[in-house]
Amino acid sequence: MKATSFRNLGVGLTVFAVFWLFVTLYPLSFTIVSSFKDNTEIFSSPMSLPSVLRIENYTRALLQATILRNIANSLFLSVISVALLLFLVSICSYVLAREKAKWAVVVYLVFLSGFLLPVHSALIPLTKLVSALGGYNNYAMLIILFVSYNAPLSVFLVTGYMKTVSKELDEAAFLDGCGYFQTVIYVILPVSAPIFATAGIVAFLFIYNDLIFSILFLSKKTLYTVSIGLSAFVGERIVEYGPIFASIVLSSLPMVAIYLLFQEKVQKGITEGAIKG
Amino acid sequence: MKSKYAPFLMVLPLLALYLLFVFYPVANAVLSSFFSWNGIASSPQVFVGLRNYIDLAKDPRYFRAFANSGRFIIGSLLFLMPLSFALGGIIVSGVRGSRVMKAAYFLPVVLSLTAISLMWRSILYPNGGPLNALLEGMNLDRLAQNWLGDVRFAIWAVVFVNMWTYAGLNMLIFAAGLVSIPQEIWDSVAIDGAGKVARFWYITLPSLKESFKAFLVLAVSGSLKVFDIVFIMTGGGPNGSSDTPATLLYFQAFRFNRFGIGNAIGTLILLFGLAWALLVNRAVRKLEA
Amino acid sequence: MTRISRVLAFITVVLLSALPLAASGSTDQAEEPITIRILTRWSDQSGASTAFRNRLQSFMEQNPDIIIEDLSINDESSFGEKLKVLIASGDVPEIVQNYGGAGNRIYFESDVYVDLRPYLDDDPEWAAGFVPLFGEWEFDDLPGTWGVPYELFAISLFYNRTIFEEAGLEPPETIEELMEQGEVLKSAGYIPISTGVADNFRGGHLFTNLLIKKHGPEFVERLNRGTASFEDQEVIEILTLMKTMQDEGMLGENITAVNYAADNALFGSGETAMHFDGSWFLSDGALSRIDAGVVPFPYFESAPQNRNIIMGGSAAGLALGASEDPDKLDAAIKLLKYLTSIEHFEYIRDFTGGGVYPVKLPPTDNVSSLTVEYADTFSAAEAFVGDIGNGVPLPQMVEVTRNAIQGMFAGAISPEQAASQMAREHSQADFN
Repeated sequence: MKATSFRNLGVGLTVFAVFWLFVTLYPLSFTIVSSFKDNTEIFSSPMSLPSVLRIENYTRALLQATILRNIANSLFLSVISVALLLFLVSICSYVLAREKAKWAVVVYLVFLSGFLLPVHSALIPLTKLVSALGGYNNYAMLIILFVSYNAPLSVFLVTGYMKTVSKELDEAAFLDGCGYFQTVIYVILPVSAPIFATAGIVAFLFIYNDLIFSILFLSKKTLYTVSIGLSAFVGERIVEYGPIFASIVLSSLPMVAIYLLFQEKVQKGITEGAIKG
Repeated sequence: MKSKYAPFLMVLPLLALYLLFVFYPVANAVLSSFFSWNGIASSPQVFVGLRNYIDLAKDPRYFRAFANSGRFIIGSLLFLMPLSFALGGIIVSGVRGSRVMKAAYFLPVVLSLTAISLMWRSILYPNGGPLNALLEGMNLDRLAQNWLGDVRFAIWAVVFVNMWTYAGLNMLIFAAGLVSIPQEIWDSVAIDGAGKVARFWYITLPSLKESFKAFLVLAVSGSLKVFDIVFIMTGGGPNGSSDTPATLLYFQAFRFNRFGIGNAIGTLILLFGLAWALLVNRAVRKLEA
Repeated sequence: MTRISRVLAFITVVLLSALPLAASGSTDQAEEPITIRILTRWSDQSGASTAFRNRLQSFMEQNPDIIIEDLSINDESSFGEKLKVLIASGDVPEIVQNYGGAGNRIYFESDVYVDLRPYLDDDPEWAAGFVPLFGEWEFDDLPGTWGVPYELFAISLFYNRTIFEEAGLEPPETIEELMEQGEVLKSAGYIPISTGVADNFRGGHLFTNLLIKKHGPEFVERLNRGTASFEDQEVIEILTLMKTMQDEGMLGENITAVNYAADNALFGSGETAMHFDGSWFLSDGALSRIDAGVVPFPYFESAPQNRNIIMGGSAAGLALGASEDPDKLDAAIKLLKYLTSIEHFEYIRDFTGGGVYPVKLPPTDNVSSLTVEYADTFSAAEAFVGDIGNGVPLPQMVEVTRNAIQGMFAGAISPEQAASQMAREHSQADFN
């Protein structure tokens, strides 16, 4: 483990750490408890335990809303998109971090502008584009959109981080006869693992929970993703919260697993030695 | 072995996708902010120059919305930043239980906003909700409020819930910075016998320049375009008091068919965000020099 | 170029070329079946929506030459986003759920939808099946019928029988009675008529009901034409009454923090004695927890002539998206008739065991007694009036009205200020 300065948290920070643990575990218990209730109980006695365990919330989420299918779809889309995204970002950001030329600065700014605009502004021109490309009900299209829309944030995070990676590493690699590409993959990528894990988790979260692209570009039930699945119990006026909470519990599990897996990598990925200068 | 074209080719795949699917629609939206359009394909887009912007400037609702973004920014800088930083420190410390904490701290972002909104509505519920019950139990009745239903407090309540939700995400940015501070640096200052405070000021903070830069840019741009959590918690109410630029954009464009106004709001969000990002970039570079 | 550079160039080309390939993959130009798209909000798991989807399925079985692509998405804002984006790209689906009113008028004027009048005239049997509630899709100065009703609603007053029996009360017939009973119910520990306005439509519905019961449909018509103002005494009087109801605790406590779902739950848990709502409430789980009855929304003793003026009408209807392909249009008409036929609504009624529908259905014993009671509350209706503001030629008028009421209940503005907030917006409308 690194970051010696924190090994001893001190009394204040320890108390805070435990306090925040309580503060964040509470919503989990709230969600689980609510997943066994009906609307009247959720709203009129939100803090108490369910009077009867309404298991049917889960069976309805599984059978009526086909939540497992939706989870599998979202997982598939997220895994492929994040893998492609991180690969493309790694080579792109390396250049942006190292290249001193004007064009690289311009490209960086162009990327930056991408996450500053609310997505609603882009929907109409984007839909025309997707429609012209025949991209409805097409996972390839969705993956490309997910990669494109998560690119700005990932490029921003990774480029910033790579700037702090010592240039001596690249130069040593070049002397050893590595090309640009090999240098990135074999030398820079490993030492940048923490930020890749972070960017990966963030992108995964956004893609897994995406609502707007799924709504605009999917209409085949078999292709539906988690967010559409979650709305299966939102009626025109009456919303059934019990089965929605059951669906939330089920669909959160894979995300937590993925997060823990990535987050482990953050700390394992750091090899001993002077890697940053 | 550096090919002359290699840098271009390494940037190209991502840039090409980005330009086509993100930058083109964004540029299109900016351009459309100078037109008036009702959102019907067959209706003409009429060039109106700066009219949409002038309409915005004349309407106090938009000032209020941008002021609310300002409140999100204040919350981010004063509370979210130290909070996420502390959480990042805790999860990388390796103290007992830090693995459980790592998972728990991230939970709020994983649970869908529907769950979060409903939970906080219950906690903040004025008629016997736990927060007010707690305040009353401590004989602080005067502090008990109708948190989400009062025009004075609704926006702050949402700012608070937003911080609570996204602390776990921002924690990761600081955690990534912290784990990459090389062991030797700690070892060398340990030999020097530097105190805790000195280590924090002279080693930890300067090594995290990039993390702070990332946080500052993300937090401010996030505050400018915040939408989902406001929409689901208050819908911008009561009476528009918790509206943000993005909720007004949504209502103007997608409910009231005023796409020109919507795009003008979007463009302003973009411009403010860009200005801030450049400012932060410059400040960080000054620190380096 | 190095080998790796070539690989990268290749990746770029493949990524970009995947798009047109994908395009050619999904455009099946097969000659035979016609594909039409339908966009509604009935994609959830409620009985009515499930029954609706079953009907789409059986239509396709009966018409193998027509394929229905169901784009439906239940969530209100998701539906709105999807529809507006499709309209903006000139790609409106062949059949669309539509609420009509002034907010949709620009679409009718621009021929985004098809005028159904010729088709109704061509098929008198189909046309005669409907209850005559086309108001949302017909305009005095715009010829045509731009949609047909699909859902019928009326706001009535649900009450908890047990609470009323305990208190020795009969459900109120007039507002004056309602106010008097409020005192009794409050002292018995109940909220008289919980009205949470965190969802702003609740305040809007209360406003509409009170305004039409007091001042009748003529006044609403004058607002719609711009010959009356929201700052007129009639409006301020009603807003002031609402404020009084709030101050007296009739509507519950801290009502700006109580949302619609919480309101329903308060009724289900027996904490509120009354609950005003539309037909959709019949399917809420809250009703299964208590012994509920339903009566018409009370009228004013001072205005008995408006006793049978009811807030209601058609909620959602169906409109026909303009299509350049005459085959698609024919198929869409066929489907539209299928989905608004007597058999269709009979099927839905039998499937869900209740509900009220915009066609003249033969009587049945298959519906719940509460449904029958509910239908009775507006059987004597002389006129149905929709949301105040819905008839004003300004898409945001309903929202502005509801927000101002919410602001008044939040204590941020007075009834007079709420009225002028509405009037300011109202004055921007273009009343020819």
